[in-house]
Amino acid sequence: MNPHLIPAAELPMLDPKRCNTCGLCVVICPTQCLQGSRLGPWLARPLDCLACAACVVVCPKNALQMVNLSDVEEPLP
Amino acid sequence: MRLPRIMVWESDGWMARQLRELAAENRWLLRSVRSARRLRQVLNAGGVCGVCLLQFEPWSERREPIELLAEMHLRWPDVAVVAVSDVKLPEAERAAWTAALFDLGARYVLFPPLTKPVLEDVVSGLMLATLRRVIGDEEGPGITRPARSEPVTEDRSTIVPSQKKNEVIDLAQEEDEA
Repeated sequence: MNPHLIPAAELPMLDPKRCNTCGLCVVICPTQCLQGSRLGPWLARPLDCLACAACVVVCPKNALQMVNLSDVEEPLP
Repeated sequence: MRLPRIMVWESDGWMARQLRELAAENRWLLRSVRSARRLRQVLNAGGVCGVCLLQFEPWSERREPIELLAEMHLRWPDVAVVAVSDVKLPEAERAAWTAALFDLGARYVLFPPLTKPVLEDVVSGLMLATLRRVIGDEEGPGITRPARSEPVTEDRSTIVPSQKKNEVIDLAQEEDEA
């Protein structure tokens, strides 16, 4: 498998009802894979996410949590 | 969290292999699934937006891709669906299938010849549309195409036909020279 296509084991998922769009998660992200948008933060470059969970820690509203996507993923052929 | 992906539902993994470089270049997730159940699981995981390629077989008893296309249009409108067939059909049938699938919610319907530049061109356009819809900024980040692939939208007027193709080979003259 191409190493550039392997995502992190976990990725941050947002609860939009809790998010107050403060943008702290976007600022703290070390790989800049999170970006702000009119709909709140979004994971614009998911393959760059290191699953460091800095965005989860910094969120004042606990709107972010790390979700393991491996149960729904299949490797590429 | 909105999670941009390219999803491919196909039987052999060919389309996913053609789109690897495009996904890697733009750091998007690329997922190839073999069943509708898996695809629904991925979509139900939440926050999915992006592009989905569905392989369908015209005139087949297997209607699942077409049913899923209609379902995706209603349940996951943030996912642009491209219907792809590897079956060669007469032009009239292609037009009829294209119209029917457009009505069901497909953004593009592709028939052979399917090549990597065609797939990359279609998918990169839909990726850009996804970015603009999510970010809401016309001058937001663009989509980068892999360096090795060339867009199919080249200026055809600059292509000069080879003179050799139009040459008439005079076999009688060649025999005289021999």
